[in-house]
Amino acid sequence: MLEVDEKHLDKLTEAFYLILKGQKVKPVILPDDHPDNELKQLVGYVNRFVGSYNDFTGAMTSLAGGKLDFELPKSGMTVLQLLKSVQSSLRHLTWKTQRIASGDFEQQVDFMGDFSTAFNSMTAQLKDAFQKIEQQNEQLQQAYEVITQEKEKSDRLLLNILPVRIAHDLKTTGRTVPETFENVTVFFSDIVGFTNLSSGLEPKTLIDELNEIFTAFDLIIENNHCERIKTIGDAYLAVSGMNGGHAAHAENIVDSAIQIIRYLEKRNSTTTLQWKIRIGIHSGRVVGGVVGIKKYIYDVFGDTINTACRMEQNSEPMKINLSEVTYGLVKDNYELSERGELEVKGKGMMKMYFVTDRRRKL
Amino acid sequence: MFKEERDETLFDWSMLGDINAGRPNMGGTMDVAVYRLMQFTLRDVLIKEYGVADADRIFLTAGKKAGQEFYRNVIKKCEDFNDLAAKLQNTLRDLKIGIVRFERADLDKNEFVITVAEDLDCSGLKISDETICVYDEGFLSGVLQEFTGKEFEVKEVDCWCSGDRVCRFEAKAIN
Repeated sequence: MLEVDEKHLDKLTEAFYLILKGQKVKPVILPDDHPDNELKQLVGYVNRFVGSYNDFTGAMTSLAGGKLDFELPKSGMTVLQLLKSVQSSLRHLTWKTQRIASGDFEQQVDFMGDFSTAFNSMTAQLKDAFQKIEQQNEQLQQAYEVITQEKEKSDRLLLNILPVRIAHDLKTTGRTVPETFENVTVFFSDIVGFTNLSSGLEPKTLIDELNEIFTAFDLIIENNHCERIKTIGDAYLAVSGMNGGHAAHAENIVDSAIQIIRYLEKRNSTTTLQWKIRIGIHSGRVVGGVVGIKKYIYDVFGDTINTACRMEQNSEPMKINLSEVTYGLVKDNYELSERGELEVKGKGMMKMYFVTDRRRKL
Repeated sequence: MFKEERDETLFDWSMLGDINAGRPNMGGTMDVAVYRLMQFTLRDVLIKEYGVADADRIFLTAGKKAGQEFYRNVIKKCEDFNDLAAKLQNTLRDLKIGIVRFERADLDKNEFVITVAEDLDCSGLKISDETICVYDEGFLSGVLQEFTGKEFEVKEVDCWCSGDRVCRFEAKAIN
């Protein structure tokens, strides 16, 4: 008959009591001199069970906290083996999720029951959504490119009719204020006998001719750092000194005028239609500003403009007529001939000069 | 061809023959038990003749050769590691070899943790406190070597046979 000390049975009872109460259990210790009997064998099995139970509790605590890197000892207990399977599956799902997060939607999860179905369905939907977003991005990119091209076109158009600075102000603030420019030289030209010449031409021919001539004027003006303000019928108005206040504004305009005369002379030598112009140039203060709120027109105002126009009216075919003010600014560098004082409508007598070329340096 | 003496391995994928032509009625698959019958009788004789260490070395080397040939002929070219992982998983599933799952991959260090569930070699065997998937270790090292161009050491750290339900392999590049 096996004799059992009651207090050892109490220890075994306490161990299972603590397990059922969810508390940590320590191994049951028997005295060293305890006989090697059935009770000792039972205590040995209970302690192995307690050890596995503690391992399981520790692993489940990690799992509950989302930690998957716990170590499980080898065990014959099914519950520990299954927990290892769960750990492996969760690690694999984590790894798959990381792959999908990096944009690889070809990853699939196999043989995990409802997990596989839900996960693979999610991946398929993500792939679909991602492809849609990519398509939308592509469409947006195409639309952006179209808008950019259209904006470039509209910017070019705006720059064709407005000075750079004014176009920038209108684009950024929607408005611009008139400005006074103290040192500006104004170019004014008009085609001699335009009314008579044009009356015998088809409208299209006339427009083509003016377009060709004024396009050539524009290039010359631009190359000499000047700015075309507008054309009024056969008249052409340009300035220098408004865009950044160029110091050589008078010389820039005079150089442009000389080159324009040469261009027309060359053109007339090869064409039936003979276009001749008069050019007037004057320097002084100018006010510039945008006129209108819908169809923007940048225009220049002031007595300097009127005087340049008068210089043109007092010029001669294929001649460049300078006011005394402009003469004073360019006299050292150009071939000039004094014309004396001429009557100017509304202004009285004014000194004028023809300019023919740049003075050649010796 | 099959039985000539050799100093270097002479295996070629064509040695597997035209199974469809040769087995029009039996087909290309067979019972897993038959595969295990061959594997464990072969292992039995190899251990008896050469000892456990040499038997393991032979299985490991053969598995590595199989992994290299499998990569070249079945998996084929992979664009990147994700592609390899997907193709390895899919081909081993489709061929009913096992359920491959990557748990961890450190591409900078070339270190991977891979599990194979329902493994052809061991799943369902008696628990014996032994890790026995030596052929799988070689197979995975062969696949990884073909993909990366680097020699790999693959160690089975958990096995069905040792009571772990899944076979877990730790792979790392040598040098």
